[in-house]
Amino acid sequence: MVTLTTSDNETFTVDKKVAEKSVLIKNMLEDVGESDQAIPLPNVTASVLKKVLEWCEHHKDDPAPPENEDKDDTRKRTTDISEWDQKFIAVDQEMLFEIILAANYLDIKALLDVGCKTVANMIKGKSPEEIRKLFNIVNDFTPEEEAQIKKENEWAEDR
Amino acid sequence: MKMGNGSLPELPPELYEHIIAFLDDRRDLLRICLTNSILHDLAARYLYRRLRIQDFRRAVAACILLVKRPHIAAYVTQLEADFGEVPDWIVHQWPKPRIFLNTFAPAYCRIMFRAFGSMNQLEHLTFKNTSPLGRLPMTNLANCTFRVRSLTLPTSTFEHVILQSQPLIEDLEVLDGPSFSILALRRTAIPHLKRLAAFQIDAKYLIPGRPVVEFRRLDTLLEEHVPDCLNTLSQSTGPLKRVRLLMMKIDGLFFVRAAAAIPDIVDLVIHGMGNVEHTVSEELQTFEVVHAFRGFRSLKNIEIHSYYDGSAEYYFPPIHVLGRACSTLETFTIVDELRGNSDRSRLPAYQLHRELGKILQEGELEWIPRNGIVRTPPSVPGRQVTLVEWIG
Repeated sequence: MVTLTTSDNETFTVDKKVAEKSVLIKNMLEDVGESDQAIPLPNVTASVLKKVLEWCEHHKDDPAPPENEDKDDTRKRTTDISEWDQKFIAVDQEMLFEIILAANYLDIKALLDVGCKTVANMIKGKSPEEIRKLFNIVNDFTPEEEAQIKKENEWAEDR
Repeated sequence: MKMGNGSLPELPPELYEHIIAFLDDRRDLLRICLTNSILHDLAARYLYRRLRIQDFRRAVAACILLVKRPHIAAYVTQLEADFGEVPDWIVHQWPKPRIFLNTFAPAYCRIMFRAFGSMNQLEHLTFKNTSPLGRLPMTNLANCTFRVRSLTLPTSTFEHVILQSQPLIEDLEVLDGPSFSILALRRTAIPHLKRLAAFQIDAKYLIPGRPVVEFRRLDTLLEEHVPDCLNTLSQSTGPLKRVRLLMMKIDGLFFVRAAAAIPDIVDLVIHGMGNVEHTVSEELQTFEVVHAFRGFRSLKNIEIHSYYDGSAEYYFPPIHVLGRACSTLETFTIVDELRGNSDRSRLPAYQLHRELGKILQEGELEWIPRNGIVRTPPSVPGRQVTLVEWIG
């Protein structure tokens, strides 16, 4: 068993196999060796870690992903999210982003892909303004710049 | 990144890029480019990765952009340029094709190829419908500095000089061959060719001495040309692993010859116009053919697509016999391309397994010990009629 401590000082005790879905934790355990000490995860809150561990538990028996996956190949499988993962990731947007950040920090590639694919699916068909709202970002283009990008890329539009 | 108000956590740029990498539609990518300068720079890389230049006005707009912004041109790894649509107003300006070819066309090609010239990451290049521009795309392409790995060209552009100027080519497709310039191709040209789609007349010059592992023949293979074709294929240093042929008639003798010429073949796909049923059910059973199957060292999959419109009700590939002769064989698939639902009603809805005399219902999967799985006729046209697999 492995003990994990979150940023808000909650501890979670999980199976080693489940915790090792995270490459970060796996490497830490290898470095430290057998130890009862809790592993601090200062970038993850308890509510997010709970969710992440739920995913790790369900996927603990999945085979390790192939190392050199062709990027072009993964791009084609955008909507390819398993049913369980789809249900798992049906959370509010704040939680979704927190899961993505945690998966990135903990280095869980498959979970990161699930999160990013979900966001990619959310972007599909949205207008620039809606995408800004989605990511909570502001438009830093001047109207002239915006018009220029539109004009330069006219040929890209209807495909 | 600048943030608006709200409690949403901020994602670092590399995660935005991870998300963008999952998007394929150009319109989505363009809309992301319009949101914000940071997202613009991230998404532009994916927006321009695959570039399709189609109609004339857009082609010029795209090329001007690429000439002005060479860093964008460097994102392009895949370029498909269709020169086919020269609009009417240009053609009417130059009522005589010769004047068009001497004035407008060279200028157009200059812009195009200047833009292409900045694509220093280009790997896949496809040209289509180059005929309105005569030999111009060809001469420009021969002078290009980029070195691509895959090339798809119409015959009018397909010249030995181009192949000699592109030593890195691994994939080559010559769309509407045959080409008359190929005779002059040096034997040392394109030494890395792996995958080829071409007419036999071109293949004869392109396959021998090169490590071709995959060949898709674009013209129909007549019975009398089978030895000639297999002789060409046997000269690949690959060795050849995957072949797709379109044949008038597949007979047992073909397999006998193939086992001798291309013994290392793994996937054999044949589209047959003749009576496939007869070949599969009768000719493959003969001693000569079964014996020849011992010659295949790595054959895994045989796939036969039938376009025969006569009555073909049963397919009985002698799977167990062939499987015993060739231990690597895994699947034998027959796809009946013509028989759809309308014809299906006239066919019996069952298939009799000859060995066991057992009637299989439509859609039923039956496991027959040592022989494999037999799937009964399909309910949808184009689906597999009989699929046989050996397990273990």
